[in-house]
Amino acid sequence: MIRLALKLTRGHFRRHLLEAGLCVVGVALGVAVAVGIDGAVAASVASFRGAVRSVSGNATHSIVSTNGTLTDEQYIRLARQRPPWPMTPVIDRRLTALDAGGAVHVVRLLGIDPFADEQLRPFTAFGPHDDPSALRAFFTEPNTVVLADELAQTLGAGIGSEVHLNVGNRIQVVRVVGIAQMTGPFRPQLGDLVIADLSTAQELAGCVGQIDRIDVRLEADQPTAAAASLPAGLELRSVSDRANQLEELIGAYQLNLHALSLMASFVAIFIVYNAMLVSVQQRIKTLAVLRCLGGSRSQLATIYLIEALAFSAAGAALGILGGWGLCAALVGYVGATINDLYAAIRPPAAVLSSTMIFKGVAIALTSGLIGAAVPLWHASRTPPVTSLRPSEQRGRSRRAAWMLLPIGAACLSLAVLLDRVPGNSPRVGFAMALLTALGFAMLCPMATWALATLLGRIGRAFQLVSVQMAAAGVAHGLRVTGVAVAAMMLAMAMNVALLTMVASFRSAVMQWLDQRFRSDVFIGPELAVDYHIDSALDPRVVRWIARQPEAAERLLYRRRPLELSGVSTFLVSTQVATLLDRHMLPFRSPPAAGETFDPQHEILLSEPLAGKLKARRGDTVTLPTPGGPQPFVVFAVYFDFASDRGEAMLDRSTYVALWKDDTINAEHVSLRDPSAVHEVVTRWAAELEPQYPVLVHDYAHVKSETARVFDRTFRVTDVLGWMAGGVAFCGLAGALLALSMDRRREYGVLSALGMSGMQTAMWVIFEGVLIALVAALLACAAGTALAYLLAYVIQFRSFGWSIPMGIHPRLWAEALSWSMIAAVLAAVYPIYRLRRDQPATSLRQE
Amino acid sequence: MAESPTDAIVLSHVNKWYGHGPGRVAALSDVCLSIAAGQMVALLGRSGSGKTTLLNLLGAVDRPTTGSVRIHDNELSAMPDSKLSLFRRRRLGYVFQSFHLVPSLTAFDNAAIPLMLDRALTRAKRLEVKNLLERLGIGGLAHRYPDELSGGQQQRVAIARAVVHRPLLLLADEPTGNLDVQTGREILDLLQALPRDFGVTVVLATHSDEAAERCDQRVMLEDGRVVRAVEVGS
Repeated sequence: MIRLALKLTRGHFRRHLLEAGLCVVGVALGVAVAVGIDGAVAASVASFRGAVRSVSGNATHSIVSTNGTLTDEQYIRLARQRPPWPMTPVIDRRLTALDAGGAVHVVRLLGIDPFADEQLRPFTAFGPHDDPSALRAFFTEPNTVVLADELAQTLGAGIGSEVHLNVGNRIQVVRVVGIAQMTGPFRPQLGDLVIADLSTAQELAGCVGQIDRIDVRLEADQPTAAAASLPAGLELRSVSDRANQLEELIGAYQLNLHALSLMASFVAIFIVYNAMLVSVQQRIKTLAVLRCLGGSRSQLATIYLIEALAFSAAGAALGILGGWGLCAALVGYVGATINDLYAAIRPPAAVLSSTMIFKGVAIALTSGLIGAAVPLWHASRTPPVTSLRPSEQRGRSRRAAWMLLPIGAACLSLAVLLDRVPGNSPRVGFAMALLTALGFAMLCPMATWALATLLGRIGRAFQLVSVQMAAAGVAHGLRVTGVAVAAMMLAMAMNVALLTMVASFRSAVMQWLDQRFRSDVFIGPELAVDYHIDSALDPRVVRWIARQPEAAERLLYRRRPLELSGVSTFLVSTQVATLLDRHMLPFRSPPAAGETFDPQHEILLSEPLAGKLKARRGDTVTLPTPGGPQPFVVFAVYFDFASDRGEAMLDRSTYVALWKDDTINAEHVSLRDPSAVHEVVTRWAAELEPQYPVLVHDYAHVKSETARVFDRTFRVTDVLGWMAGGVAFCGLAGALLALSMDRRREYGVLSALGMSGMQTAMWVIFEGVLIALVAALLACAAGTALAYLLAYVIQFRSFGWSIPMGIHPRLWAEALSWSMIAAVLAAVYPIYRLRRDQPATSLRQE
Repeated sequence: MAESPTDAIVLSHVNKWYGHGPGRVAALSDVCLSIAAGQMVALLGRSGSGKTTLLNLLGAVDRPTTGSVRIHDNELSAMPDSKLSLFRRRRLGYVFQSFHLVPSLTAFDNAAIPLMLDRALTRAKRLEVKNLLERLGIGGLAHRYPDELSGGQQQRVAIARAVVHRPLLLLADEPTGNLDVQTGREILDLLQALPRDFGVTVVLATHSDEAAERCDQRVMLEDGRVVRAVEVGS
């Protein structure tokens, strides 16, 4: 039986090689998207984990301050207790360094106590062993550092060289006294290290007397005792917890990407389903003959099982390779996005892991088996007589289309009902998305039949025989065309959903910027916000601006990381009353009418943070201040698109009083004469930029920079969009080719009856256009619904913040246009094949 | 065979080869043939003798390798593809052994295809199609699909399709080959009436002696050559 199955399969696909190829490419694209996205995210997370673990060396835990400030004294007090576990103080910061050409490189400053550190970090047991004077310099002289070998090469620095480090609001010159050769598995993560003695690092980082954490190495039974021994204000965290931090931070981003990869897998299932169905349909008579000759159902099922496995295997092999390539292309974007929005990571490398291979094979096999299940059942169950009678099949197809209609409606209704399920699990959102996609897919056959019937009538009324024939053909082959429409619709819906979400988000961000940044001039440190380096303005710059006669009103911003009830977020301080007076905060939950802000006892929360804390207006939130926990009442919740980590906004006067910190990260200045903004920016920049590491910009620049970061963040969706387009095209081209080849004899007959070459071409094109039109129209509706689910349900349920959605008819018009172009392109080869043969050749096919 | 001014069809030294080089197969070799207008002609011969190939050349669905095919002063071998389509659409009718109806169209639409292709299916022509189907005895089946019809009914639809546009020449390839004796006889009756009713020249390829006996001229083919052409009554 296997031999017969193989012969039948080989014989069939030798004649339908291109259809088989398109099916394999469709599956491969679905696998590639899923594998590529997961690979890129996994590589980025692994890079971050590696960065945490690599600098942690043998340390298993860290002691950190609950209020963000850990001092030398606290460390000394702990050390005096002589605990049985080794521990060492650490400064661990991101800075930038300038190379000889003036290019900026992000580096990692690791401040250590070389004597205590030796037990925990083998790589800090470096040494310019051949030069004792240099070693002595490292311990005794200020501003001496050791560079990782890779960094030294990047900066073009050697022993004795001077390196310019950009620290906070100033440039510090350090001298290189050693080059550490990094080895071992963590070498890639250690390539950007600048190692300094603790006191040097404190001076460089501008935090004399403070340390970032204390690294400790604990045995398995020691963590409880170690945690218990800590005084109030300090806590013990494991290195693996810190390594997990990025995954928590990028949860929303990762979730969205996973949603996309899930959708890609779903589309792949439909592509296989479509191809297998076509394959069954093309051989329905052969199957009937085999049944008549005594072939059993299981034997026929075997034929299709072998084919499905062959498709899956080929799709998996191609898809995994493609996914690896896609992963290599995406890690740059994903890494850049994580750097832009979340935390500094070194550019990860794309590796073809066993997980990726396993996932690719699993997706391809699942797509193959699920996709082939119905055609397989159909092939083995259909009575031979029915197989030989097209009218029976046509009737069954139409009945099936009618039956699928209420099932599709039920799926959509169930999706709406699921929204009422309480809780915040994203699984509900995913289930809703799946039901929505399935619901729309089930509407496809009926929609195809309805539109084909309508177009057929129009074609008949206007004697457009090509339209009439195309409509009749599509309606007649509903069994195949309905599924082809569903496959194409799903791929296009994925694209429409992505584009709708991105376009809505972009327009919301731009509107938000217009309201939130209603100042004229923006002054910030040169180190900008890239890589989340806490940079401050030089106080002289602040004083200089205060003296400028053009400045009418100044908003002084301080933004610092904050751990709030286990949530990693930001604390922002500014003159809140001014923001409120000038209506610069777009509110999600506005304050009650007539209520005034109490700067000493009230704070504002951004929507993402309010969502994470599950806090509402009027609730009390306790901030960890250096003086101890301090309760604040939530005055209002405002929209904020700067970061999904969210922020708590405190009045500047209260912040300075509680934190004893009058640092300013940025200033937003409103001018007396806003029309003179260009001249003012030019003059201030000319005055300040040569003297201080500071940048002066107008609002147009801020907006364009935001747009740049935004576009880079979502560039990954462009890649996915093209992939989805490819999948949709494969589905359409495969279906059209199958339809055309299936009706070669009809074309021959009609040619014999006088159909011209142009009419033949138009027939094929209209078939493609009809399929693409139904798919595109439904994809616009399904895509918008899926975008709503992604933005409002999955995002909101999981992270408590939403993206205001808009309707974008431009995107629908684009989807329709692209589908029409795809239809014409997909028709090219079938037209060529049909016109290549003389009508007599086509007639001989019988 | 000598050419006469009343000849509707003239084939001169027609050769048709399939393939190239040593594997080349000659389907027709130096065929010369003239058929007068309004005649019913039978092409006879064993399977593979070249009947269908000759019919395909007459039907302008294939081109001769060499030689000339003229139908009512139209030289088919020199005609571009677009003109050939138009010629087939307006001047020729075709009836196939296995009917070759378009399965996705109803009997009425199948019969009206040549008119639809020419965008000539006016209200009056619709009525003509309807009447034609009535005349062929399948008026009540106009809205059925081909697979809902019997073989004889399908062949009647095919004949309606072949004459609906009043062609000059009707070609039939084994028109009774898939039918039982009684139905075949009915179809032959219809075909025989066509020259009289529609003034059309009919060329049919057949193995049937009964069909051949009803024709005005019989052309015997053997290995791609015309070995005998006999006019009945001459």
